[in-house]
Amino acid sequence: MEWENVVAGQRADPEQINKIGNQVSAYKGLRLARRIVLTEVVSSITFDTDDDGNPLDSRLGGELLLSSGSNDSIGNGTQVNMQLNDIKSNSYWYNVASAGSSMYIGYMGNLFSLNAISIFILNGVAVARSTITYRYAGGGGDAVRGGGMTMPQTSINSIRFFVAVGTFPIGTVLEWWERG
Amino acid sequence: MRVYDNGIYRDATPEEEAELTAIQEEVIENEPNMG
Repeated sequence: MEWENVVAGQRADPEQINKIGNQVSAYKGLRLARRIVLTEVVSSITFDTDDDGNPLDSRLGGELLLSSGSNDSIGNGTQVNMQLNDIKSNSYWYNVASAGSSMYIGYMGNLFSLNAISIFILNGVAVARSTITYRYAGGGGDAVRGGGMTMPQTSINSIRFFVAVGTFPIGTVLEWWERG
Repeated sequence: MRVYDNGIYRDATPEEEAELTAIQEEVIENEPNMG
């Protein structure tokens, strides 16, 4: 394997790292490519550019965070789904569980929730793995759930979250930490 | 129905509303521990 060009101060070559596969230590690091804090109540959140307006082209994947922040008025049991690259075919993504041709990643608790999704692109295969931590009021306990999906993709170009029932509240935080 | 689209808040298109409505009919799992 060729490691020589993956050194401090250089951008890693995604194609080469894809060949290397799971040698995560070769990655340079994470860049906060996009940060969104909702100022309106919405049913879906979609973006395909970074904070500078450049088209999203995350060829090594990254870390995706979706949190309710400190908001305490989240709809109880709001089911959250995710689509990558606007791909809606249910037969293409191989999901743990799915609804509406998307990746089902769990529920929003009504006190707090954090959906943490790691996305890896390894040798032409995109893998998304999620864990959700959330808390309910009035007797509901803390909980963690998880899910995952995978499909042939060489880059992440758009990300979309949507809810089946309920809405994302004001104050919802979304961060996309692109791996580079 | 409102949506966030690349920094812009707007009303969902009829197609988007139809998609979300279809998803609502597909809810496949019940959360056992809601407060």
